[in-house]
Amino acid sequence: MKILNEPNVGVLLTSEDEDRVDKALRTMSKSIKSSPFEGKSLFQQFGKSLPTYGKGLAGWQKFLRNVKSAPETTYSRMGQRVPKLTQLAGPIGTRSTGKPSQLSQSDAPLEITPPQVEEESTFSRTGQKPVRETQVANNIPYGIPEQRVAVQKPQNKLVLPPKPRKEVPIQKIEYKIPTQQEQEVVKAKQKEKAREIASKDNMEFGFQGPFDRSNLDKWPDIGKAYELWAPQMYKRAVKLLEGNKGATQAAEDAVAEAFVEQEEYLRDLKRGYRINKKTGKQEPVVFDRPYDNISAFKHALLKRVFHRAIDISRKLTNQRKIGSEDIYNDEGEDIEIVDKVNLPPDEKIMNEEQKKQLNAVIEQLPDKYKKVLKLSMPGANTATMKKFTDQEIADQLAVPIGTVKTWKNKAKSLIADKLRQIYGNEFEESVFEPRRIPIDR
Amino acid sequence: MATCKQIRNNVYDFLDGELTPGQNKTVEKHIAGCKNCEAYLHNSKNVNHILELLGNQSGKGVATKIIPPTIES
Repeated sequence: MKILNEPNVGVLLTSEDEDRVDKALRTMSKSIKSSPFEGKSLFQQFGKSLPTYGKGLAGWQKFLRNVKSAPETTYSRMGQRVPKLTQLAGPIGTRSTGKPSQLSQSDAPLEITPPQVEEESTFSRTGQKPVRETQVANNIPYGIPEQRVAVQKPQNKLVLPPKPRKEVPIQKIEYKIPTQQEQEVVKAKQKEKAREIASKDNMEFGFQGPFDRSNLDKWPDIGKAYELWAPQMYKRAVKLLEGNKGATQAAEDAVAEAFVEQEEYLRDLKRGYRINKKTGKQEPVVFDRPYDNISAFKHALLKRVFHRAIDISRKLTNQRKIGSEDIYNDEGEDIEIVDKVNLPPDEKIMNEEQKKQLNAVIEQLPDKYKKVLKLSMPGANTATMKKFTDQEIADQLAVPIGTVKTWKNKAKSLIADKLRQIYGNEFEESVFEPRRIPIDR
Repeated sequence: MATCKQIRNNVYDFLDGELTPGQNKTVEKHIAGCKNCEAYLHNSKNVNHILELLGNQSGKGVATKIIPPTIES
């Protein structure tokens, strides 16, 4: 007789029981090597939870009671009771295979023993019992499954008739291959459209080509061409660059670059040579293919736009790969490359001229920025000789704090721009020692 | 990831110490990797410095001049 180490388990175990518990636990977990009753307590070895029996003492109590009540049953790895093979097989030789089972070879007698079912015993967490009460009552031998009779449930639910399907008429689309005549009609229409556009352009410029070296003066003026054609070309370039970061800005740049290029090209044509950028030498300009009409000229311009746009898009993709700094930010605005300017670091160096310059710069600012900036400068508050806080300024000007802040920042950034224009990098090199202000405040 | 524009909009707040620690970290991180923004920070720091100098140096005289007459203070 032995009581488990844990005082609250309260289940008496005989030595036979111990063996059974030992066996059962060994099937449940393979990691046990020594007897569970040696050395450490059961809790220490298995933790506080048993599979399928639940946590804590209650689980253990259930398990031990089960072991005691049905001593001959074996246990699965998950702790569930497994009925014996003899019980499972039922009458010998009635398997679906038709062959006599292995048990029939040995003359083992059929052991059909109805298990002793206690009232409280439950064999799994779900409360499943191995034998149904009806089976016990009707003396049906253990292991033979009860025939299930389909019970018709009372149909209280409202059964809705199935929804009628919507019949969607299938539209048959017939693709006709256009005949030659139709194709010719379409082509003629396209030509007419092109002619209309060309005539419109001609009307605007007053000269109809062909454009060659002899009539360079009559070629369309680039400025005028930019006004007329830039919007169209911009649209085309945007379409080409769609999906790129900063596409709109890139397209604008492409158009501008293309027109500048064309202007330079015309200039070179007029003077008869171009200057090679790498070598710096003069080269004769070859112009073998004069433009037939103004639309050809326009087309040449458009081609340039496309090429520049492709260049820029390639640059953008390369940048993304390398992960270097962006040319354009998310909103497509051009980020300036900022020159670092070292402005007077010490009080001594601030001479009268610089003061005047600074005051002049401040005076040039827009009114609202000026107001806010001056109020936020030290000495603005005559009573305390300190600067006004943002809240005070907001109260004075009757605007929210956020706008005060943005105005102030804008004013400061404008001043920084102006000062950069005035001093540039000269200032850094000549007057002051170059010094880097560390990032931390 | 913060963009350059966001960083630049917040540079003065950063210098005044009005950002949260997390925002401070993002600004510092960005500036460590972006030379342009570092230069921008440098310049804006100088501007702050200059404006303080101007205010302090000019003393009372300028301060009274600076206050625009339209504001009732």
